[in-house]
Amino acid sequence: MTGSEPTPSAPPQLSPTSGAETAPPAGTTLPAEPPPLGQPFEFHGEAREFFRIWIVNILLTLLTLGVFAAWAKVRKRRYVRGNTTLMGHAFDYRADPRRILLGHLFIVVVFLAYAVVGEVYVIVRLFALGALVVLLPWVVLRSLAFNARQTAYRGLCFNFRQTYGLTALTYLAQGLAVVCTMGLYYPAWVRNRREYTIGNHRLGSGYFTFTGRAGPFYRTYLLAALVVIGGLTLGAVLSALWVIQNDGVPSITATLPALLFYGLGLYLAKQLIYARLFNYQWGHIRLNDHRFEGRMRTRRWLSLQFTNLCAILASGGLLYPWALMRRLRYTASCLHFHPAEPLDDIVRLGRSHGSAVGETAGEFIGLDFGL
Amino acid sequence: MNPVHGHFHSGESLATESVEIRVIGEDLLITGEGGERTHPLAAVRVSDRLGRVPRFIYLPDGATVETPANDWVDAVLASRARGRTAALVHWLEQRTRIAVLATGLLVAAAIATVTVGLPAAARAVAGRVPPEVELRVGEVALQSVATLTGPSRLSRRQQARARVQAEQIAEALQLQSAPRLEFRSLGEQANAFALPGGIIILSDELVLLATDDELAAVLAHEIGHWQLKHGMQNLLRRSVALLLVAGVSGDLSTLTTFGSALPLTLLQQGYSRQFEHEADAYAVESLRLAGRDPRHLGTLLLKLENRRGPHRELTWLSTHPPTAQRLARIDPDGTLPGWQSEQKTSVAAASSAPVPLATPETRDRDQLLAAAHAGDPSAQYAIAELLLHAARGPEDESESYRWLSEAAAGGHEMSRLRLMHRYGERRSPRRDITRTRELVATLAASETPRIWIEAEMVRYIISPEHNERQAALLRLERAAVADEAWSMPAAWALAYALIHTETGSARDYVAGLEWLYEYSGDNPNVRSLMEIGLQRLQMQRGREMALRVGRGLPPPPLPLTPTTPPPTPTTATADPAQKTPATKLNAAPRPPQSPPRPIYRARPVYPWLMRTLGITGEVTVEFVVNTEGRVKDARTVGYLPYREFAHAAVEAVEQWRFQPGLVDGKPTNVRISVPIVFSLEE
Repeated sequence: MTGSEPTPSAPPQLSPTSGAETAPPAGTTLPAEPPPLGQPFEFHGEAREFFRIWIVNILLTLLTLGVFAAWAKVRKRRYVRGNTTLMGHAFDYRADPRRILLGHLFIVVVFLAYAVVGEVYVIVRLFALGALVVLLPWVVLRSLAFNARQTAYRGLCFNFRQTYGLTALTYLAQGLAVVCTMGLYYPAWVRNRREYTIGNHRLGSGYFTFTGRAGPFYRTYLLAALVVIGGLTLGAVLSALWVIQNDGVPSITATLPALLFYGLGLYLAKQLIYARLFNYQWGHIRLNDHRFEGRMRTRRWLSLQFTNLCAILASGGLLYPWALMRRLRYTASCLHFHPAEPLDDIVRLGRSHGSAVGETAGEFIGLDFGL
Repeated sequence: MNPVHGHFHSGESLATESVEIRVIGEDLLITGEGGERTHPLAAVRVSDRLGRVPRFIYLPDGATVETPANDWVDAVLASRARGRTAALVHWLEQRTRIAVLATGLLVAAAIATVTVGLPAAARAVAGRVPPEVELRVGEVALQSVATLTGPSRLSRRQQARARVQAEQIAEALQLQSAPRLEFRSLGEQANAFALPGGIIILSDELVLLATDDELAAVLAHEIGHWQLKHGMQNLLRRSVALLLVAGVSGDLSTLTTFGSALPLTLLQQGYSRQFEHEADAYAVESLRLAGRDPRHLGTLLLKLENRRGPHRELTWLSTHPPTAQRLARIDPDGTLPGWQSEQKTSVAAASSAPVPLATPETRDRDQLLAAAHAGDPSAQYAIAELLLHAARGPEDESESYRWLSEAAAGGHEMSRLRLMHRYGERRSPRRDITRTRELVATLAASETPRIWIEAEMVRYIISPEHNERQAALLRLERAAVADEAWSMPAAWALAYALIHTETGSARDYVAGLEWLYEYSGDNPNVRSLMEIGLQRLQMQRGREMALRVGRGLPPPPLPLTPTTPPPTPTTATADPAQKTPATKLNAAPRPPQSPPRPIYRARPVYPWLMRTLGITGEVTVEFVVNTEGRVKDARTVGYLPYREFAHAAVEAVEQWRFQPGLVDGKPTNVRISVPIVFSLEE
């Protein structure tokens, strides 16, 4: 989950020729620049070109023993954002790879220190665990802020601002609530995290708001749970049939269908959640009075992601760039922007810098901020 | 140079302005509606070139110009800005040939890592893994194996056979500890595999199929896997490979889903060819060290190969090298074939019904009493034991001690021993190791049969996991299997020791009971010892458990007191039950009529599905024991809630062997029905 996931700061959704056809005029007095119909996001990335970039960057990363990874990460993000355009202007990602490299180094040093010292003094591990919990909100906050500030549109940088306290409340306290309610609170938690990530972003003087409610999240996650349970049941039945076929002789291979269908169910559920929440979420995001609109079709998304999965597995990962480009092109084509007033009114507010450490820490621990 | 088109953004608002940019001398000139702006080239920065992504020109005042004219920017600006490396990277990224080359290199590197790098690293690391960690890994793996396989239906005797062989190989190799053997039912599969930490899993089929020599060979092979750390190496390889794949593809979430299923599937796949060859070589070497013929490994391989007929499951996944290749290495002289035919006959002999243990002479009570009164110490001892185990009251007990004292006075060592224990138990029921050692020393000095010394050690060492107790148990098991001609059959001694262990666990009692069933010698105390065992089991685990064990196991041979013989013979061609009324202790010599006596009982396999669902049940199987002692026409009778149990029960019963029932001294067909309980405890 690197920079390819859509965040409000850099809508990863990109589309070539999708439609400006259906969007109704949203604004009142629109100047010449934003046309009266919804503005499509477009993605111009190309599989062959990206494959070359991807493979060369992997090779360089290996040859430099990982040092180049920071540059590779920036290049990939720049490729995705730079090929995403809205009203003819591309998104810019300005992060300095050297800062990200520093972040990487910092993480490696801390991790090694933990491993070595923790080996000698076991008590250190407990403290480290506590420190990790305390640091988590900070890491989330820093990485969101860093990425937002390095992303620009039409010369203006995005920004992300929130206090440590509210971040901790969102991620730790509500996470605890999920545990206490045996997961029942989870969909609401997802919704609240969306509100947190989206609502605290801004683009200059333009503030993002998220007004989505928990209901659709609950419905979607219930459906996803049913899909997983269904997959597991189907697999279990097949396993049982297999065993019966073998005269009741249990064997390890007989569990394969159950595991396989469980895995497929999980994957399907994940894609289902993404597709079904896409339109709802974007439909409830505002940038001041400007609206967004998502037009994703669940079935199309599922077939797209399923073929992507097959292609990646069958090619041993080599078709990953193709799959990524395909996915981004479709997501972009599903996303439209409806300006309500001249965008020019959005102006710069102050300026500050995020730290690369938090950003890398966030990635290293595998936090996923996909929208 | 020609001007190019771009968009100017001030950095103060989202306003955009269409501009033309050109270079005049050392300055960058930007012309648009908002007028002309000039910046010295030296102060201007440019974003790195990347595919067809538009370029951003960063002006010193915070404004930017966005332009798709990549080539123009490179020609005019890039050489001045930082980023020669970026230009080089871009150059590399544009060449199809480079991409092809990079792909080739990466694929080659991936293959090399998996085939050469990982194994080498795994080997190095596996050698340094602490034994405790290894053992824990093995135990976790064992748990997952246990959930996927059935419980063993091998008898104690069969299991002990394998344990003895393992012990011998481990001794010859001077290993610190013998491997821990786990017996599981893998259905039809004859298989063995080694888990990290020296846990070796043997399938029932394999143990039944292999001769003692072949068991030693296969155990040597598996010990090889263990000692060469193949299991740990496999584990390390797989987890690292999974991590690598996840890292390169960048998509952890889908992989973890499938990854979690991976270890299980790989378990089935077994070891690589190279590991098999290494383990074979290790086995050959260790068999030589142990003074065994390494070619037995070859004969077993051939047997397995022959067996593997239609039942080959997923052979395309199998990485075992072809048997021919392995044979060539094990037995380079090619002496196997003739040797094998010789082996075949002995196998046939071994797989027929187990030979009952030697039976000491039996005496009836009157004779015993007469002899006891006449001063025969062993008769006195026998009477004492009978009285003790009958345990009808304190009178019997004191009577018993009287006989014991008399026998001891007459120089009967066993009696002396029993007396010592008795008084010891009265003074302090808990004895420590030192005391046991003293006792053992005394016994050894008085030339008590070794087998009883071992039994006493098992009995009196309080800590069940104590090394000396384990060692004594193992020696007893070995003796029981080999049936060395000691004064008392070892199976009996084992059962005795286990059941009489004061601090014993339910496991001990069950094992003792099972050994008791194994014991086919005539001993007047079988019945009472069994009752003691069941009683103790009941005290520890409750009535239910005792009942289940008592009923669930096949009926014990009851030579003298069949008051309620569990196998209820029903009239078939003959009716021995009515003509042979319960022969009490005082019955005369063995009657010419006798019911069939089981000599081998396979335990039914608990059906996998039923066990998973936690379903228990009881099935009554009715069958005829024919004149050869084999089971015919086995079928279930009565109420039958689950067919699975019926299947398993009939399958097990069909493997039972009996000493045929006798009518007038002649073998006769006898119909019998036996209840079989499927319970989930133990």
